[in-house]
Amino acid sequence: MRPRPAVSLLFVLLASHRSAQALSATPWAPTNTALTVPQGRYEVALLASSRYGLRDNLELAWQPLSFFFLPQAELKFRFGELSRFAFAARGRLAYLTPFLQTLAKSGALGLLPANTHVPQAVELDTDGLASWLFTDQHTASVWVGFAVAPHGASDDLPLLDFPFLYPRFAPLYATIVPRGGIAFDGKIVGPLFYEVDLRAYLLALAEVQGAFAVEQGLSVEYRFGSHLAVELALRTSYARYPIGIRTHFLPFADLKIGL
Amino acid sequence: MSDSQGIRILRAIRAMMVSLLGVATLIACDPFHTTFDAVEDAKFYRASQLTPPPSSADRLLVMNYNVKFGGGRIDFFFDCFGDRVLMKKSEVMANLEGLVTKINQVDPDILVLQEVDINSKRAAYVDQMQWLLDHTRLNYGVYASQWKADYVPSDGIGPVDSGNAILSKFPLAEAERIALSLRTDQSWLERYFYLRRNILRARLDVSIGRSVYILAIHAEAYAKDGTKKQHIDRFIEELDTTSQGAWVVACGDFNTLPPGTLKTSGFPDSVCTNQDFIADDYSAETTWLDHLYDRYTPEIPLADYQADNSPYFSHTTDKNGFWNRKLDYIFTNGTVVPGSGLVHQDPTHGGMDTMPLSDHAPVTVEIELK
Repeated sequence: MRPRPAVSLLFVLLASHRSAQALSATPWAPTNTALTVPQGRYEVALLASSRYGLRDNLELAWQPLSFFFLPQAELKFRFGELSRFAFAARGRLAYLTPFLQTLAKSGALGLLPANTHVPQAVELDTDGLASWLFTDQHTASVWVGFAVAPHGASDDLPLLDFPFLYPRFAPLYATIVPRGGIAFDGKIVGPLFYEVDLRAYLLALAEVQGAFAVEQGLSVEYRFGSHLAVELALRTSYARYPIGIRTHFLPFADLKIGL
Repeated sequence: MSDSQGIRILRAIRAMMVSLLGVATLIACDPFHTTFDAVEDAKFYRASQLTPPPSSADRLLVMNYNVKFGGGRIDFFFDCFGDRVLMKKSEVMANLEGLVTKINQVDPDILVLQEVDINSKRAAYVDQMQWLLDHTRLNYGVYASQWKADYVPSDGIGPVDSGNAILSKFPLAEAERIALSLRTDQSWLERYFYLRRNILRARLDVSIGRSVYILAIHAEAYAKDGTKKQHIDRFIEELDTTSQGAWVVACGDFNTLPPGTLKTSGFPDSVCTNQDFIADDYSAETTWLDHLYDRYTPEIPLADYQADNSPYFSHTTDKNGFWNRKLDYIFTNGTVVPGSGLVHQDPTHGGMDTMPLSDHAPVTVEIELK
C-alpha cells in the first residue's frame, strides 16, 4: 500500500537527523529566512542590509548607505525551531520624511516635484517567517506580513511610482499593504551560493485599480570564507502602475564583510 | 527528501537562473521602454460614437494645434514662469474642455495635434486622444509617441507618453511613425530619457481619385547641434516623396520662423536662464523653410506674412503677453481656398480667446483637392 501524500510529507518533515541548532545562528544567512546571524557577528554590506547578532536568535539590521536620509532599523527574532524548521518574527521601523525630501528636487533623480509638500511619515513593517532545511545544503522559506505608514496630511504627495520603490512606499497611499514571499537558498558548488526569491505586494491604491507588485530576485554569492562575500544579483519587478502593467529589471553587485 | 530530489530541484533552480538572466540581458537594453524602431505603426483610435463624415473629402478644413498636453496656462517649471510639474485631473479636464470648445467652434475635418498626452503622470493619466475624439465630431485618430518612458527620473516628471496625432472625420489608414534623428548635444543618459521626435504620416481612407496623405511633425526646439534642421529637412524629404502622385497636407509645429520674419531673436517672454529650455534665437534659421514655401502652398501666403508678421504669430510662453512668433504651419500641394488661412489668436481673429488654452494658437485653412 502506498503511503498517502500527507503522511509522506509528515515523514519528510519530521524524520530528519539534522538538529534544529544548525538552522539557527548562521553566517551569511539570507535576509528572507527565519535564520539569524550568530551573536556578536557583524555582516556589513554596501547595498543589502547590514546585520549584527545581538543574540543567537536576535538580529539587528540596517542599511548603512541610506541610513542618514532614510533612518531605519530592523529586528528579527527567531522564536522557535522544530526539526528542520525555524520560525521568526521581523519588524522594521523607518522614518520616511528625509528620504522623500531628498527625492523632491529639480533635475536628475528628482522622483517627486521640487514643490512637493512632504509630510512627516514613518513606516512600520512586520512579518512572520518560517524556514525549512529541505536538504543539508538548501533552505526554503516563506514569509507574510504587512506594512503601514502613519503620516501627516499629504493631499498633494504624488504617488511614488518608480519601479521597486513603488511597493515599498505604497503604505503612504494605502491604509495597509499586505505582502508575502517565498525564497530558496543554498549551495551551488564549493563557495558559490544562490538565493531565489519571489515576493508579492497587494497595493490598495485609490489611484490604481487592482494595483499589485510582484518581485523576483536571483542572486549568486561567492563566499571567501566567513569574512568576505561578493554577490551578483538581478531583481525583476512586475507591477501594475497607473500607466498599466510594466516589467523592470535591476541588476546589481554587492560586497559583504563579515566580522 | 532524497538526494536525487534535491539534485533535481537544484538543476531546476540553475536553469531558471540562467534563463532569467538571459531574458533580463535582452530586456535591460531598454529598461524604461523609451525607444522606437525607425518606422513603426502608429496607434489607432476611434471615437466611442461615430459621427457621419462629410459626403466628400475633396474640400477639407484643416486645423493644426499644439495643445501643450492639456496644460492650459498653468505655469510649468520648463517655461520658467512657475514651478508646476504635475496637474490634478480636474485641471486637465478643465483645460481639455477649453480646447474642445475651440475645436468644436472650428469643427475641422482634419485636426493635427502636437503635445497630446495619452498616459502621462503630468496630465493625470488622462487619455487625451480618446477624450478629444469622444467630445468632438472627429471620428478617427492616429497617434505617435514623441516622449515615452515608463519613468522619467527627473524633476518629478515620472511616467510620460506624449506625442503627435492626426484626428479625422474620415477613416485613416497606413499610419506610420517615422523616427527623426536624436540630439547629439546631450549625455547618453539624458538622451535615453529625452524626446524622440517623429513624423506621423497617415492616409485618409477616402476615394477622390488620388490618395490623400496627412503628415505631421513637431520639430526639435532646444537643440544647439543642428538637429532641428535635420528634422525639417527629413520632413521635407518625406513630404516630397509622399506627394508624388498624391495629395498631401503637411502640418506641424516646426519650431522655426517663416522667411522674412522681422524679429528673429530676443523675445520678451524668454525668461529661462537654464540653457536646456532656451529657444530664443532663430536668426540662423531664416532660410530653413524656403523649400516648403517654394514647392507647397502655405495656409498664410508668404507675401501676406511678410507684409505684416504679427497677425500670424502663434506662440508665446507668457500668458500675460501676446503671441510673438509664428511656429505653426499647414502646407499642401492642393489648392488653398483664398483668404481661408487663419491663426486663431483672439476673439477678433477666430472668434474666441485662445490665449488661456495653450502656449500655441491654432492654425486653420480650407484646402481643395481637385
